[in-house]
Amino acid sequence: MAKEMRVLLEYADRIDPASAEDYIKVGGYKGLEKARKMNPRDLIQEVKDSKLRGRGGAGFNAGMKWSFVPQNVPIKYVVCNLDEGEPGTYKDRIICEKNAQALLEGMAICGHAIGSNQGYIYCRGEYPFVVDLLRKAIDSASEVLGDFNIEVRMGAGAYVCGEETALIESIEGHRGEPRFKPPFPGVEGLWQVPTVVNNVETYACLPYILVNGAQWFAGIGSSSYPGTKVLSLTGDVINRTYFEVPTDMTLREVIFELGGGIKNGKKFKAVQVGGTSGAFIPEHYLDTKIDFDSMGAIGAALGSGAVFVLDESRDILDVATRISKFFEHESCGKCNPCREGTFRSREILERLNAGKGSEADLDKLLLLSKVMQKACLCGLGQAAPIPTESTIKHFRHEYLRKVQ
Amino acid sequence: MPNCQIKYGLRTVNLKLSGYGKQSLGDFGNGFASHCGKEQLLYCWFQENAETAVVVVLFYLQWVFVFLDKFIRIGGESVSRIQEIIAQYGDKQGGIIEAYHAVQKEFNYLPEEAVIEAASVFGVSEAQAYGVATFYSYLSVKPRGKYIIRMCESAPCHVAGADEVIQAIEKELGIKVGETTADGKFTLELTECIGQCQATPVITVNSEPIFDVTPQKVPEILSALK
Repeated sequence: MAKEMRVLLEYADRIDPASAEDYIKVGGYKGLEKARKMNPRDLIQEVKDSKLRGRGGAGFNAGMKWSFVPQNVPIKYVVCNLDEGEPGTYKDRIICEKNAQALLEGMAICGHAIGSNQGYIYCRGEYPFVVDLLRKAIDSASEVLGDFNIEVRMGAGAYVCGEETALIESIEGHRGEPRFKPPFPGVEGLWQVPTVVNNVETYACLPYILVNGAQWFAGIGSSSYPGTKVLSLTGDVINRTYFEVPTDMTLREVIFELGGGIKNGKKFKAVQVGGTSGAFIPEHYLDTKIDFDSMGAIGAALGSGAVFVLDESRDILDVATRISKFFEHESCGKCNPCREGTFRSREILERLNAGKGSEADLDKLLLLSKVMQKACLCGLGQAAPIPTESTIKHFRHEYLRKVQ
Repeated sequence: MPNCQIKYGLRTVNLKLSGYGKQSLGDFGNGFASHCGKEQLLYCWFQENAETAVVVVLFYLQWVFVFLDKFIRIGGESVSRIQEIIAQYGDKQGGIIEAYHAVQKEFNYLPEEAVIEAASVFGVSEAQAYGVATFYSYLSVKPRGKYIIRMCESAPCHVAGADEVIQAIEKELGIKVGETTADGKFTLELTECIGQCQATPVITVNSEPIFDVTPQKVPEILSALK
């Protein structure tokens, strides 16, 4: 029987997330204490050794990211990405609501590593209550954070702001449109100074890495993407809730053991992992481990850790059409391939869904998908056609059923 | 150029520049003031150019109406209140979005004055300030109701029956998505995922989430707000 492994969420609902005192009682802020005694270079090496990879979706090695930040610059920033707009994802909200102090501690550890004393948390506009909670938590932790300041900024409902450069633009008070890269934020980020942008979950892992050692963390789960991952289950699964699991758990274990299987005694049809920009996975891939590379090998992505389950009665084409509408709405319009591509995808899919399409439309969609994955400026446009592409690949028969 | 046409709204006025009018209007005050009294001059000029005078009066009158219109809509006190709110965020680098949130908390939308004021406080052009105000889906430059109801239409809510819920809300309120009820109480909007997918479908009322909504529950939820 697959079991949860709670590291970040060990004390969920047993401590007050806003209270630094509660957190210290269960061993909190020991990691920061240890980190501050270390040389920043050793600290970055420790994080590299833990093989911690970004939990936001791109899976980039966190220690490596920090090492790109130049040492000899006076002002640098630590930015936390709490803009989880990926539909089906709510794990960052859960981490904040259960263990906000670990996030603050993680940011302060990063601050020490790169030589920064200012952090920003960019919280999405849909979570005003999380903003309030975090502000309380920061007040409560002001003493132990010392000269490391954290400010919470609230977004205003734009999915694209989850992209790191768009997020930076938004903190600066501009329209949330992604920047061209390079320069990467590590060199030129917020207000043109070196900035590290990491996800909530990535920061929240750091205290535990420092306390228990890099080797301990590297030994949990899959070796190429070690540690635990908080998953959020949605859709036609019995237990629609969050789970923290080691990264070597398989999708089947997540859905049928932790998730309790499919609702109303129906059969499984597909699962979309990593939020709306993820691929749809058919049943014969369910024994894949959830770690980043194993998911990548089957053409899917772990992404944000959302697990969206569809039962046999669901119409895949209808869901894909709905998703294409989402991307059309959320495309910021800065680059042509995304702005026009998401529009045309939605148009073609709606036609197909209404039973007015032809088989040639599928080829058009696949061609458009290739163009968008290659030519779009940021991750939004590059990932937007993946749900369509994967459903055409695995569920072509469902499309053909509606073709004239 | 002895004659010219001025287009004012739907009317076109032919301006005959004869007599005093031969001078361009800009020179009018200086050139003739030397040999006759200003009142006299103005009188003569109005007599000769009655049509032009009407245009000039209307031109200035429109600003009076614009001013009055705004005064009636958001009230003179509100303008100073907006300035007060935005000023609190003035020293926050890049704080324009925070300032907009604060204005919306009181006014439920961003009045034109808020955008103009924010532009000057944060040192950006009005176009840029407007660009920010219209980029984000939680900011609105159109007046909205007291209760902003947002229906999540992302995939998890979609498969859980968001379409039926939205139909029930539309029927109950008698408005379509994007509209506000005549009494200014409810505005209905669509939103993308609000991160409460453990209890789909979800709606929010002024950002407060309501879980597991069904069409049957809609009348009860709405009547609690009335």
